Amino acid sequence: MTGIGAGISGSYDYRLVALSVVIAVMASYAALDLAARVTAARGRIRFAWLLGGAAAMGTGIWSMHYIGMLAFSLPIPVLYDWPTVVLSLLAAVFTSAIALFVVSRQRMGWLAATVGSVVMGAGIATMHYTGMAAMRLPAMCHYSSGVVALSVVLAVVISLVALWLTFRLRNDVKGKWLPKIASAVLMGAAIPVMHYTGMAAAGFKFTGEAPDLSQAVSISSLGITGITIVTFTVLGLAVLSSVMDRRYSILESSEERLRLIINTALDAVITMNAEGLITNWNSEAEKSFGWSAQEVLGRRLSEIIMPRRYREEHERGLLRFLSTGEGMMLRQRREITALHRDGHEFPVEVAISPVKFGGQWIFSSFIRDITEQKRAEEELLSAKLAAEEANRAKSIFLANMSHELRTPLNAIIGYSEMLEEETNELGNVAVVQDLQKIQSAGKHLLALINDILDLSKIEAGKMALHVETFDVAQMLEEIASTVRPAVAKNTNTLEVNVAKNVSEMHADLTKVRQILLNLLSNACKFTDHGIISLNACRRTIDHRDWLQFEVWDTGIGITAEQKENLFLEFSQADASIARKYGGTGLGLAITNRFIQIMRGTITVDSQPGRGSTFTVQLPAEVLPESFELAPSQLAVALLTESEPMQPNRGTILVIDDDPAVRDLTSRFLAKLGFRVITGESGAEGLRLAKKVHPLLITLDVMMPELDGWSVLRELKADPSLAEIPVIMVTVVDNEPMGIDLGASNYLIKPVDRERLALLVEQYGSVRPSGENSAATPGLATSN
Amino acid sequence: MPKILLVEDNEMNRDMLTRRLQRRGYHIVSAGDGEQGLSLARAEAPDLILMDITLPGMDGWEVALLLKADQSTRHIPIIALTARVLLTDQAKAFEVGCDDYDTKPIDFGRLTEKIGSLLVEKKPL
Repeated sequence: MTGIGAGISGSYDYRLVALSVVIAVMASYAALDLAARVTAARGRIRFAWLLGGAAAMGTGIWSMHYIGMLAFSLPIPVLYDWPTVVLSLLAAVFTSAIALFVVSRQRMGWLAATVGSVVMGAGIATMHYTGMAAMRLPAMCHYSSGVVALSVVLAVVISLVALWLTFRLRNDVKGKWLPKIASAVLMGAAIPVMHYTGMAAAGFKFTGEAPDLSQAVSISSLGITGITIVTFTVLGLAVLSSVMDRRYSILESSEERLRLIINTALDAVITMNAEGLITNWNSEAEKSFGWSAQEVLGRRLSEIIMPRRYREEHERGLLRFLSTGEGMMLRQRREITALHRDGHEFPVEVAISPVKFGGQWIFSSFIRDITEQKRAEEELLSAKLAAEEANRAKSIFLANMSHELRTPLNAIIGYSEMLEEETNELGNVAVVQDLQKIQSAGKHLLALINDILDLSKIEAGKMALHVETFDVAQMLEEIASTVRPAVAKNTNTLEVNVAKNVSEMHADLTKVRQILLNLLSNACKFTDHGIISLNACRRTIDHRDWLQFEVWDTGIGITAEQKENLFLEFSQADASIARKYGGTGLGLAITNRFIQIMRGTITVDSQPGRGSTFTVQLPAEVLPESFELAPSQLAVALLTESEPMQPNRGTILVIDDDPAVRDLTSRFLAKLGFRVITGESGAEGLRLAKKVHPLLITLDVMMPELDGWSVLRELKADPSLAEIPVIMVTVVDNEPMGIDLGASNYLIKPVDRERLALLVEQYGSVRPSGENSAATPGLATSN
Repeated sequence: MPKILLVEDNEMNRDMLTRRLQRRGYHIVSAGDGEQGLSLARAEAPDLILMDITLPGMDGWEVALLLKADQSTRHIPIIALTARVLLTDQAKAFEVGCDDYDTKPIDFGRLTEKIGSLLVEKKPL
């Protein structure tokens, strides 16, 4: 045996050391896992988790210590003072509680982490050295202060790392097992490091004195086995309950979430089982129908929310669905009438989806009260009706006004005619002339009233088209016979040339007739001892049939300035014309509008003093719509003459078979400073394009033989011409086709002059002089 | 001398048309409203009726309908005259059985042509 005062050296049983490390790892894992539970829990439950977690973890650390102590064997009997042992257990539990508390808070700042780790480190050290102090042995235990300090510092640093890791990993619910286990191993290894460092600080000297053994117990192998089993059990239970609790709480929280979503939904959400009984009734359902969930759960849905008259049908539908799987109401939104608890019915929008759940059908319905929506709809409807009523009232007013004006006019014209006859018989020529003036003024007034009535009908957008199929030649014959007296009045001759192919057209006969009568009556009025010609033919342009009517005369003609306002209301070419030739100034405006309504065009070509040609093109098949006309469409783009502003900005090629369009467009473009060349057919246009390589081409679609589409195709197929921008200028409303074929822009006649000017400026500014420079044509080039 | 019944509420127009037609050699009986027109048509058995449509009380449509429904008067040709120029009026005139339709103010030449041709047509009766 060793003598008194001699140092005693101990030895380690490494199997027990390994066991202590395993327990430490387990305890660390439990701590990581429990931290998440503590974080998730609130109030008392949180406190319970904290306490249970601290107990499990504390027990783990504590049992690690004592297994570590047992692994260290001294050649003397060692007993332990059990109150001190219990005290060391409390220190371990307390330390664990602090640690769990720190890491389970929502946030962990550096201050909290530092304070936490100092407390925890100090706690572990306290536990360790208290445990050491519990030793009862016939030797004196002394410590090397440097190593003790190191062990405490290690405890604090390890705690800091452990807290940080735990905090970071606590909410890793699923996946990432590896980092969690790795950090548990790290922490689990760190606690024994502190322990065995602390042990290294202790030296034992034999005293021979019998220690105070009044409360000493021996840690026998059996005791160690017990401690180990209990520890594993406690730790296992802790982890198990944590896992169970998490599963349960996830389930519970997802159910809670769903319940909250359904209850806060703005639609009534109701479910019904296959027997037709209510199984779910959310808050909005309570509000919408006036029944609380408690009152209706388990009752028949149809009896609660459906007016009596629909119930039978509903039950039949349910049975049919259950037997055939078909249902009218299912999987779509429907508007139906629902019943409130107080007995009033209200409109709802309902969407029902059947769901097969556990072999049974359940039906979920989302029901929305649409009372307000319906009210708004009704208001809208009544506003519409009121507007229609107002419009009808206006029509009645117009008809009445017409009547009221015509009645006195009837007397004026009638009496003056009668007096004229009587006075004529008496031979009083001077009075006859005056009476004729009254008559003529009366007739002018009548014409005005008629035209205003027509115009106001168009203005109201109420000029409906009454389309019918009629024989064009026959209509022209009737028109010719109607207009013959007017032709004869100024000793004119009427020529009618109707192509054999005119056949039939589907349009508003009255309006077509009025258009031609207006043009013919103008021709008669402004021509003296001349020829008036009415020509008609059918043309097929881009697979569509058009009828072209031409009224030309050898009359006084129209100057370019007069053309500007030709189709505007109350704007006769010249104020003096009204005095000389009469007329209301509304005729051409109405004519133009009739043509627009039928989606046709009118162009005019005239030379002052030589005569005028009005060309009208109307689709052979007019669509029976009525059109709202924008005021801007009223004026046809007719262009004025003036000097070019900026000479030679490049050459523009205008391809159009209509001489009037060629003439007017040329003048307009020349005014903008461009040189203009014109092609009167598709073939000529192509030839010129190849020869001149213009800066820009404007292209009509409806041309005889080679039409605009074909010209465009050929232009785009020729590499030397493909880059030249082409602006389609046409009555054919088919922009997609134009763009497909490669047109840069698409303008519909009558052309908006400003738009054309804008486009031309845009292209014109790119290449100041494009003439003959085929190598760099088009948009892509810039200087 | 053919007898024409003129139903017209406007006094001036009634007077004017009466005098002009008399100058053309017609015998004119005139009424100022629908009821009077109806009774005169039955009592006078005119060869033709010029019927204004907008009348106080019973309007021209009604009078024409009644006359055309009555065996004793249905053969009398009726020309509806109206200052309302809506297409629907024209359609309605033929619908109620009028034989022709014209608008006011009267184109006297056209009206006398219509009167003449109707009188010729209906003569065999």
